[in-house]
Amino acid sequence: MAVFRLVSPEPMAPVNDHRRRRGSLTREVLVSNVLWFTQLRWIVVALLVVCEILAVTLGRDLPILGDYLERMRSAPLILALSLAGLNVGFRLHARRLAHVERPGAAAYANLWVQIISDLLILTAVVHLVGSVETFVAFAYMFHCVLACIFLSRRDSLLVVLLAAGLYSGCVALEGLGILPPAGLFSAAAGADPGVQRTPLYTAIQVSTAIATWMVGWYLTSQLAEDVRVREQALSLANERLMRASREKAEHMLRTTHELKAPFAAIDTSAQLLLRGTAGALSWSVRDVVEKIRARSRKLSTQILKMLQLVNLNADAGRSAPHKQLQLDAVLKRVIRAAEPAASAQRVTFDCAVAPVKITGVEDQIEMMLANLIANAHVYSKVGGEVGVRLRTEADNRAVLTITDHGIGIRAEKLPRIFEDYYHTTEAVRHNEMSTGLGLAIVRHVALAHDIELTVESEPDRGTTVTARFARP
Amino acid sequence: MPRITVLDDDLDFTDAAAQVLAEAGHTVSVLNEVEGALDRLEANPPDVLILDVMFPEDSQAGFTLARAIRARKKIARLPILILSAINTRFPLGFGPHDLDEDWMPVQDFLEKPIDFDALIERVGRLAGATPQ
Repeated sequence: MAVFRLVSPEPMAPVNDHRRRRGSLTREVLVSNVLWFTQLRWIVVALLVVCEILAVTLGRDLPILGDYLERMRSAPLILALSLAGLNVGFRLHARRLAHVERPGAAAYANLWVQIISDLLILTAVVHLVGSVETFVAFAYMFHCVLACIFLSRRDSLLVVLLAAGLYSGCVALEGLGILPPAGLFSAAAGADPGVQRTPLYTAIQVSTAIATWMVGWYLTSQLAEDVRVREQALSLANERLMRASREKAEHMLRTTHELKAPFAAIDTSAQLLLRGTAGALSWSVRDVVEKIRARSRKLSTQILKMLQLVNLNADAGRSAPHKQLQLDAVLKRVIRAAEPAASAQRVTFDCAVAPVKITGVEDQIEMMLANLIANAHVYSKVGGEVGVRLRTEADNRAVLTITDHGIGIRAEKLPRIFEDYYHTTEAVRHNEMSTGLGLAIVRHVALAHDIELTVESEPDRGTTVTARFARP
Repeated sequence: MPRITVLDDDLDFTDAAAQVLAEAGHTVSVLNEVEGALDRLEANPPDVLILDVMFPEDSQAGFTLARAIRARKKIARLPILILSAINTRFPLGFGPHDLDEDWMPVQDFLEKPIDFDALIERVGRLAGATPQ
């Protein structure tokens, strides 16, 4: 025997729950970061090439730097070429990652190789310019800040520690004489012998630099982490909204089906009776069956409109996505759908519809037009004509005019026609299917889309509805 | 004499539709479940399939079946008339303008409650227009 136990679901973690994995990067962000680093590196390559050009062209001409630049000739070019070569490799690899389903480990590997190679080359530059005699060591700060922005807190700390290690190592090797001093103010550069490194001087320089990077890391990584957490929270909230929207749409669909289906079944049975499938009906019985059919259709229509109104009210709380629409195409579709019902009353449409674009929610605009067109032909007299004009005015606003020559509306009742469930006595007399919800739906959509509605009417002469849409 | 298959879980509707279509001169068969329907349609292809969208376990079973039919060579060109009580104006609803070879590969669409005269007219048009 199969058993199913209904249990309460786990409560969803609040959207701003900081217990979520901090600092994790999405696939798109990771690949984007990798590519961005490669683009930034071209700037560094360009700077090194400029240094090489200066070294070659100015060379001995500069009074103090002449010997240094002469000695440094080719070094910037070698570094630039190395960096450029590495960058091409990184970029090609990154581009391939963009098409991989799970780039995770490969993307991280690419990023780390970039960082390590950058730091090694920077260490070479620091050594060549002057590791403690100049402030060039603070260039490591750029990498620390970038690491905080693009990596997790833990990974950015590793970058800072790596930079500190490379810098300290470079200074230590210079101090031990393993690396010959090559900086701008070193003795080899002909600098004043008074500018000598003492252990204290070196220790202060190195520790100041590292302390600055650590403080910079702490502040920047904290801010970057907060931004990332908020971004994740927003992303999660968006996911939940999308899911809730899909579930709501599915629920509405099911509800519509479950409510309409019984009435559809009543209508089907009534049709069978009226067609004589169960035998000929007397006129009185036929009359009753027709009333049953009419009433079930009315209820079915009413349920539909009530659900539409509920849906619109729910959507009013959070705006549905607006997109550009071809209003004339939607209008033509609505008129085509209305033609069978209109022709049953011998009502025709006289249309002059220009191509017009608006911005809106297509389903809602279609609902509004369907109700306006339906009202026009339903409340027309038999054999009447409904005029439909769609154009753009000088101020680029779309204007739709629907004119019928039907029963019209009395002046004192006009202000109420957009109320929920309001229908005039004349309307009910003319159309027993009237639900009083059609224009309420029109009102909701018009308000949501900043559409100006004007209704002019005269009893027994007809009604003109003008809708002025907002500029696209 | 065109052969019509009506596939809908609503027994009242399928009985009524079968009766009306038979009176209009068609040979009608009825299926009330989606499961196994594809194989049965392939074994005995009708001239027109009248297909509901929503079934008890799957709100889009009709669409799924229509796409599966298009993937079977023998019945790929079977004319399909979709029926539904779904409101065409909700986001997941659909209308005639959504008929599309990839997503909703059917020839026509009727919203419930079905008017039988309209049903007979559409079926006649489909049976005459696209021979199997």
